[in-house]
Amino acid sequence: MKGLVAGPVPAFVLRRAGATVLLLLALSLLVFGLLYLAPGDVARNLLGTRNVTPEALAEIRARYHLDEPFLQQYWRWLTHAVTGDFGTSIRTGRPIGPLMLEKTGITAATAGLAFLLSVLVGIPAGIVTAVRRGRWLDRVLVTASVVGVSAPGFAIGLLLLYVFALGLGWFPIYGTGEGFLDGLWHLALPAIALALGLGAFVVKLTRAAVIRELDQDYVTFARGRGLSEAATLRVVLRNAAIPIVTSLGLMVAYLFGGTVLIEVTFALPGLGALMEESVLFKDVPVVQALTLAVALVVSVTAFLVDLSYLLIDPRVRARTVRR
Amino acid sequence: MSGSPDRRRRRIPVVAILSAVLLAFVAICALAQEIIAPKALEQDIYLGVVGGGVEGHLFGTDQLGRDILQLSLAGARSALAGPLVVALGSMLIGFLLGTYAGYRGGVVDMLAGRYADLLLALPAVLLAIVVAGLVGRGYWVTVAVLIVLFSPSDVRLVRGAVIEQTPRPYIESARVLGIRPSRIMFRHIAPNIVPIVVANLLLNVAFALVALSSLSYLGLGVPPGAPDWGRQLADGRQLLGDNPLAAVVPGVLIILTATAVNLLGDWLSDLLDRRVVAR
Amino acid sequence: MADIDKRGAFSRRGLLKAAVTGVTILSAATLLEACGAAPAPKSSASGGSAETGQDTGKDIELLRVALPGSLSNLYPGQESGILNYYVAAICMEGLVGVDSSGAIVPALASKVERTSPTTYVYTIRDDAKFHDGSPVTADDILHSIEMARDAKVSPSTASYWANLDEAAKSGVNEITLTSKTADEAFGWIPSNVDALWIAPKTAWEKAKNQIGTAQSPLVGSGPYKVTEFAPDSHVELARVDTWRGARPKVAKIRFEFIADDNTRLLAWKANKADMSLNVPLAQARQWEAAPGTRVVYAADRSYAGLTFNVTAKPFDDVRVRKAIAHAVNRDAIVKNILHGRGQVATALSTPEQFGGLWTPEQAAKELAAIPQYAYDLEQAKKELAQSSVPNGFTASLSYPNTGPHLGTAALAFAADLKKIGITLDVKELPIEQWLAELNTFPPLSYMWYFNTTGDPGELANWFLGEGNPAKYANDGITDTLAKAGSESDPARRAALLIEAQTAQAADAAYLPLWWGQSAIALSSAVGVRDYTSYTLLTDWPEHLYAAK
Repeated sequence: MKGLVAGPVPAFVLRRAGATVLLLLALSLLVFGLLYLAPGDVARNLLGTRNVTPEALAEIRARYHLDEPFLQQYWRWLTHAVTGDFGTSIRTGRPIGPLMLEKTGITAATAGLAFLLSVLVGIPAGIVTAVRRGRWLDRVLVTASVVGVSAPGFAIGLLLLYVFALGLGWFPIYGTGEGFLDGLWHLALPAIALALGLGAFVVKLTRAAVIRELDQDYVTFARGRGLSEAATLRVVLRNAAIPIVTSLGLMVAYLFGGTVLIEVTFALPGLGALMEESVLFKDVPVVQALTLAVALVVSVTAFLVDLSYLLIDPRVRARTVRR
Repeated sequence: MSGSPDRRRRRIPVVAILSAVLLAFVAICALAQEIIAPKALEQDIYLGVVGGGVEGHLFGTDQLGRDILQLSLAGARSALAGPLVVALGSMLIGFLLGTYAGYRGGVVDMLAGRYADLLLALPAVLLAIVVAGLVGRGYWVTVAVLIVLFSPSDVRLVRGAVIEQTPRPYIESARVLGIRPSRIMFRHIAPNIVPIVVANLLLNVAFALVALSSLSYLGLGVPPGAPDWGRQLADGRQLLGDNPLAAVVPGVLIILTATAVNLLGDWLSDLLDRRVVAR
Repeated sequence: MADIDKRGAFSRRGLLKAAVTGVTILSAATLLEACGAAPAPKSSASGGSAETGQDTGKDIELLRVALPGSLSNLYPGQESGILNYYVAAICMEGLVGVDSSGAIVPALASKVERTSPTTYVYTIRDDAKFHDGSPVTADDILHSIEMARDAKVSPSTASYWANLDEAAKSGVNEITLTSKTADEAFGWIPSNVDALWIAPKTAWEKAKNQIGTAQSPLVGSGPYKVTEFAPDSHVELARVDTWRGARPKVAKIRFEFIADDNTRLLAWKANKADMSLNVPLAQARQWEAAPGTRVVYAADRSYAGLTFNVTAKPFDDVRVRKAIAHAVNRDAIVKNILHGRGQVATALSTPEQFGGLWTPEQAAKELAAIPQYAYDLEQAKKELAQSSVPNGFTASLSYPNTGPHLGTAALAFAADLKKIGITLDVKELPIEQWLAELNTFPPLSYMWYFNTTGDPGELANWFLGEGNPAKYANDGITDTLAKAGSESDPARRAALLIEAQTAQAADAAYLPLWWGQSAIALSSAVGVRDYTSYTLLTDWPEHLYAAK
């Protein structure tokens, strides 16, 4: 472990940081290009379909620098962005910072809650199924988790909405609530809808990881040497924990994709909904900032995952760092 | 604890059989759509939407007076064809790129890694909307977008598996023997990662089915009026008060089909896993 | 004036509306003269028992309104969705406003005089107060006009002011606006249904010109003030005591933003709202079935129809156009797809636009005299057989995602067209992309247009004039329209407009499908008087009362 700190690992970290910056650059150019190509016209979107004079249209285009060549537009955006100025939303006229912050709360809370739920339920369930492999409890839980993986989040969301919000009245039907507890209560159903699929994944992957460890020779040895089941399980769990945790990291990226649908179904004004609206409106500053923020989160988690590989497996470490 | 592998291998679990039967049924519907659901697209706007149980319409009709049962059976085609293509396409990319990147390392690996990062970071909705806007909306456009979006995780999966194989003695010895790298990659390493890839293929089919229906739900998948479960579900939302079955039937079909594919995939991966171990 | 509805645009995704928005708003206004004397168009409340429920005379403590969209900014100059207009209408005033009949009425100006074709003199009333208690002065108004013209402050509406030459104080209580060219529509601009919302100069300065946000809410002189605004969540307004008019019955109004149609219906069923705007037609029956609910319909002066680009193959052949016209079963579409919430359109002008001359019923009768293409597949086949494409062809037709009923209707007639050999690819597009496509003159397209004025020539002048979407040219029609343009007698003008549309019908460049209705839902505890498609742009809470 010492070698990791002093050795080539910092160089690896630096390289990855550099790669992340490059990734963000490439991504921003790609997104800018996609939006540039996308059909529609911001000026038209702003003006509606009114019969306006060509001069008025030209004026609007000039104001948002839409009349400039593509690369010049991109350069303008980039030079501002590196100083931390992401501009203002064309659609709402608000600065990007506060706009995103406001929406991030809802999405982060929903996704965080869903993540927490799926981990808190999924991991214990996964361990139980692995230990009781082949028994009825295993079969029931595994089948249930497969159904969970297979059910689209929006269909589950719709179902929950009808049963628990409209039918039984246990949860609110819409809105984000005020204050912490009320907010939590409002986000419960969306989070559960999101967590079902995720939790099912967690069950599957925990089960697989624990089973892999249980099948290892050292478990047989440990049992052979008379180690108690509990003590054996502790060792197994410690070893299974790392792949589970790393896989969880990768799920962060999927979480964002899932929230778009959930936000649409529950009419929540979060980042996912903001993204959809902004893309359609060609609100470039918002889409750029959002994409980069999500990409940064994804990159950082991917990086942490890779780093943890390094920590686990010396062979991989040697190979990766050497390169 | 783990019982005898032989005994377990011989008995095919009930869920796998049930899944296979269901999928076979869906596949037959997909292949023989014209025979099984000849009236799927027959409209009767004078009838409009009616609830289940009306004579001739077991599950009622949709807003155009089309029979939900027939429409749902006809939807089997788009539920299987697209996801299969998505899974195969993404697997092909993942297999080639992942193997190469994982074995060769270096610049290729770096590029493949960044390609994966870039695509994973790109918002799916953005790509789907922009591509649909540029080349027109349609089922196969969405399928192509999904192949691109699915490929990075396959690349990563295969790359990881290859990296795990590379330090093993049989590869080391092949190298020492001077066997060409391409031969090592595709003759020696590939068979060992096939189980992972195949199991993943089925999981991807299920995942693609869910993803396609999700995009249809956002209005990005099949054109309006086409028999497609995702589309039916989205349209059916408006009809929940008049004929809930218009949404429930396709919804249940999506879940059942995806579950069957997943269960089969799990069973298959267990089976292949043991084969490899046995070898 | 090319205003295509955005109303649909709010249906699902909040702000799309902003995209399409300035729209339902009155822009052109030959209306000035037409409406001055026009009797209130009757709300053709076909199914709605709008007036049922007796007025108890009591106050409504809190009115919960479900809005079919999400607002990020309340200032319509910035975010100009129709919903922004509805909210701003009760909080901020312009120099003039609109009433339920669609006529321009005084607001902060007590009097308007058009002293020359390009000069408008507004007398400012002296009893108006802003919510902070300060009196409304000519300086505040001029500053607000300046802000409204500033493309940075009011990007959505600044362009409407393009024709303004000068705004000046011409007396202590007098403001004079001069336009560059004489334009009948100019009188609408300084209204809160078009492009002017008046706030105190100090409020503009304090907010650094960014009003309508959560930090600096709207301040105006209307009967309600904003007390709480959470962007994309809700906004709350309360009755003020600075209002010069009669005290409205509703004390507090809370708008919840519920963009999703289905969620809104669920919220309604769970009794979370007392009033809901924009009830989707496809769901109308479910809304009507909800307990304690009244759904009120009003003809919304909208036109839906097909446009053939007469320069594009195969629609350059009139027989092809006639074949399609014969193959579309408009009666069935209105009856079964719109569930009767609309009327088969026989012309481009809607019956509600002949106010002052005919009632909508009379107008519908006059317009029905225009020759129509009856639904007759045999006839359609015959026409097609003699055309340039006797064996049929394939065409595509897009509709905006905000008008799902357009899609359902398209699928319905696509089935009939199939029978005569024409394959129609129906495509759904996001409203933004649909609008972009319309600008490219597709061979076959939908037009979904909300007339913004009471002028029967509004759509006809656009569709039959130069630069029309069908690329249709007919010298006879041009002459007729020119005559109509200079005709001052409403009856003769109407006759000329109908004559032009009759000539168009023979060429079938446009196939009118239906005139639409829109609906709001009210709980049985709330009553509404005089509900028309203009009502929500007026000081609308005064139309509401506590019902029994």
